[in-house]
Amino acid sequence: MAQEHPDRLVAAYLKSRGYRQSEATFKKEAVVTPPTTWNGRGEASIPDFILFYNESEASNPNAYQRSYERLRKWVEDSIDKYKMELRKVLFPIFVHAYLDLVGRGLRDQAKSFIDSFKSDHTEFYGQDVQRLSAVTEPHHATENELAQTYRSNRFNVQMSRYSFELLLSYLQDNKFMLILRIVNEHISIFVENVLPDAAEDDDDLAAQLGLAGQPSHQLESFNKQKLLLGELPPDIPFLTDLERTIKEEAPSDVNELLEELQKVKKEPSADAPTIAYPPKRLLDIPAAIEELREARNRVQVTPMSPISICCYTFHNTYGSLQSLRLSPDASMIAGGFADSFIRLWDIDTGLTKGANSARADKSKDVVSSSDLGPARRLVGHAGPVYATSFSADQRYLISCSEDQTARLWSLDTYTNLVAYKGHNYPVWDVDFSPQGWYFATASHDKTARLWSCDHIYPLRIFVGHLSDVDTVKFHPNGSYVLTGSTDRTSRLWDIQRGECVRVFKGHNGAVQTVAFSPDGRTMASAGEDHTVMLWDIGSGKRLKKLVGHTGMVYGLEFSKDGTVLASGGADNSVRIWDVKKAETKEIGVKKDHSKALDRPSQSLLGAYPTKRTPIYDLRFTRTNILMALGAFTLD
Amino acid sequence: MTVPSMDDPSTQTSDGTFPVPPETQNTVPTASLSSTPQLSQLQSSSTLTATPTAHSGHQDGINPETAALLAAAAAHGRQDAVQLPRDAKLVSLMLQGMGIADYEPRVIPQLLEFMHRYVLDILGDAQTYAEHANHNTITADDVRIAIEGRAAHSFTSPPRREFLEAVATKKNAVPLPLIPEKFGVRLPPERHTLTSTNFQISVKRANPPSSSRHPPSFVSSNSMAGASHPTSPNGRHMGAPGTNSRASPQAPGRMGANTPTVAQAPSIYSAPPPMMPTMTAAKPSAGNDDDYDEEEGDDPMVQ
Repeated sequence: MAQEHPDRLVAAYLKSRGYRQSEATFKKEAVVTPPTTWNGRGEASIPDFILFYNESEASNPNAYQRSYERLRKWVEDSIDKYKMELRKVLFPIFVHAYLDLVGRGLRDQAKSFIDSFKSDHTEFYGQDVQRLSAVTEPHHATENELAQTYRSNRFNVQMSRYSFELLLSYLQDNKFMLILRIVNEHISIFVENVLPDAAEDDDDLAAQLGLAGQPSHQLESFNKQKLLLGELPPDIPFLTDLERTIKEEAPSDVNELLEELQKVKKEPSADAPTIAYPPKRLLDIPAAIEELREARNRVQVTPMSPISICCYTFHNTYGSLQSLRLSPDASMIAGGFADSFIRLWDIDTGLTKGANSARADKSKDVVSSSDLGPARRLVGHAGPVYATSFSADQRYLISCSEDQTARLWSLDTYTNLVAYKGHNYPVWDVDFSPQGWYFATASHDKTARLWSCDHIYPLRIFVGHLSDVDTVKFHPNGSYVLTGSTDRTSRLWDIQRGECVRVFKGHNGAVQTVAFSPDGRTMASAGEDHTVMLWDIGSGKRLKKLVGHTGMVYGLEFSKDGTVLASGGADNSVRIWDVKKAETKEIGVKKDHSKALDRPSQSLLGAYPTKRTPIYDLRFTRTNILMALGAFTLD
Repeated sequence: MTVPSMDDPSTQTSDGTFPVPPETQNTVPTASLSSTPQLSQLQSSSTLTATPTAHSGHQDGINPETAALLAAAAAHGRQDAVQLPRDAKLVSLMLQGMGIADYEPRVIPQLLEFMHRYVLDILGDAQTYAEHANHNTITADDVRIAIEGRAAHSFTSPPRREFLEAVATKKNAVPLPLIPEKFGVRLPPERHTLTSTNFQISVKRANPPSSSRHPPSFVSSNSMAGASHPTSPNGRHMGAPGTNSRASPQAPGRMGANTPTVAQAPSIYSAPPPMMPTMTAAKPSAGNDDDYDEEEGDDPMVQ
């Protein structure tokens, strides 16, 4: 018996290497009988097992296709109750089987494999499938970023105990060794002791599985870390100075201003963060008085009352306008261009100072009277400028670009003051802290970095995303940073420790933009999958999914009192959503999965289309007027 | 779009020219071509008959495949795809295969140029390696080494997550620096900002200093650094461009003699050249003036 083992191994080796003549000769001489079935009853010996594995599956190039096909058929034939959950595990098996085939150099089999089965997965993973179909040679698998991401991170799947046991027993009984190996190495299944939910919301699929860089069960506990989301404690000396100045100067609306000031002077809340910012000086007092005045004149935006939208359309940009940003007091627009210039327009003339003719309720009129004056041009970058951000006191502007730097510009002299170098790849987004002093950048190198104005090297590096970081935003209290990435997640980071404290999974496409509510407890994210999602930061749970856009969403902003959310995007429209109302699920209606995405959400308050202007940026002014900025696109 | 395709002289010889002049295929958008289907069909049939015959005689080894690709390109709706040279057709098919339906016509020449340049570089390197190994012809191994040699510089990808995490933990362990108690504009130290003056003013003097009112000539510090003057004791002010010129006593010394003229000079930059005269007042400049007076005749910087 022992004699047969090496003989069989040699025969298998010759066969797999294609030495046909030697194999025939050897078989004649050695009288080797290949094993037909593996009977588990006999002595379980490793050499036998390896032999069986080698001969029946590895040498057969079609093994992957056959076993995947059988598994798929079995999943489709199973009861509906378990089918939904079992389907979840098909995609990672598909990806890794394909990568295995490519890695072994079996080009034709890999091609036929992907062609036969990719149609199953186009709904959720269409883009990933397409990108992986470019991987056809073994060295492609090591160079392609997406393939490497899949190979080096475990894919999370969540399922109930019944489904999991069903799956495992099926795989083991039918000896799907290859698939078992894939499941073991590349997939992490989190088993819950719950019954499979037949009426499970298909939309939650993305939230439960996928790559997060973290195992799924850990995600739940990860999102339970304590956060300090309250407002910054008020700056008492500054507020007393402010009050005294108001009383001394006695402008016309002194009583209203004082009333407004009392609202600001609050006790620090229980979860106020303890982060230091530069104290405010006497220079900031006039600006603070203006802020109080605008807060006083704020229009109440409720779901019932119509909203005023003012849209600026930029013509003749020929596709070179990369980003638009409105300053906090709505007096300046900064536009970043592909020819590395930044243009600044002053729109203060006539619009904010009570020019009633320029506003229209419930619709957007392009302000025909104001052709904006000549723009100031900021020269300094060496590549297209992808984002800009104004400081809170409007004396500085930060811009970031494809030339891997972020630059600080003075808005008094319109010159470049500092160039911050630290990234080695294009920087996609930059955001100033609401209190000034710190700013954060998001880059292609999968990191976001925190900088302060007086250090030319970053202070914090936020590592955790699996793909490039597309957007970054500061929390209103200035001590947390939210990043959105192409790996379909958003993460919240604590800037003092530099650690990730929340992961928000749920999108089906890259997250292009994020926004915080003014009270800092809710956040919204939107992106390539045309949906806007509302999240509760404290618990990490998704509150709402807002469907309605038909194109990528570029801009998101909450109103100043946090009651409505405005979003604008590539489908040339601005949509207003209700934030506070809870969505009611229709009970008793069977979910039609194919059409689920076509029904617009119940929270949609209004959709305001432009003709051909995708909306790049949306800002609520301090008086709750919505300003939309877009570039006229002829396509 | 005159991209020479290195391995395809056949399209040129068979037709004499490319099937369509390069300019038109960039300027005519796809939509308008649909109005002239007959003309383009005629053109497409002519190109189809022309190119396969050319290829059948050409020994490039992929004739059946190329013919099949060209047939597929013709059958596809995109009119301009049919009128392109062979390489451009291949690129457009590759774009289709990756599911990219919408692209500017400029993309194809860009990709072709990139491919051409890359292949040229690699083959140049491979030839060097082949010569080094005393081969006459380039082998696959030479090409492989050439690719590996260049791969580290081009086509880099972001660092791996483990490495980044290690770096980040080290960096994030340092607490946030304290905010200094200072007034005014908070910026990094001057040598890291872009706010310092990067020019120096040189003054043209043909007459003795007391009666001169020549306009100063603005010379960048680069040229000043370049003009080497071995005997000059002013070597110190020919420092690196961009350093703070306030540190150099010589230029202010020079200006000291012409204070009235310089003060009237328009300052282009917001950074303060007018400060320089005041600095000179503070510095003892008598000795420096003598030096300048000596060499005014043969100063290379003066035009």
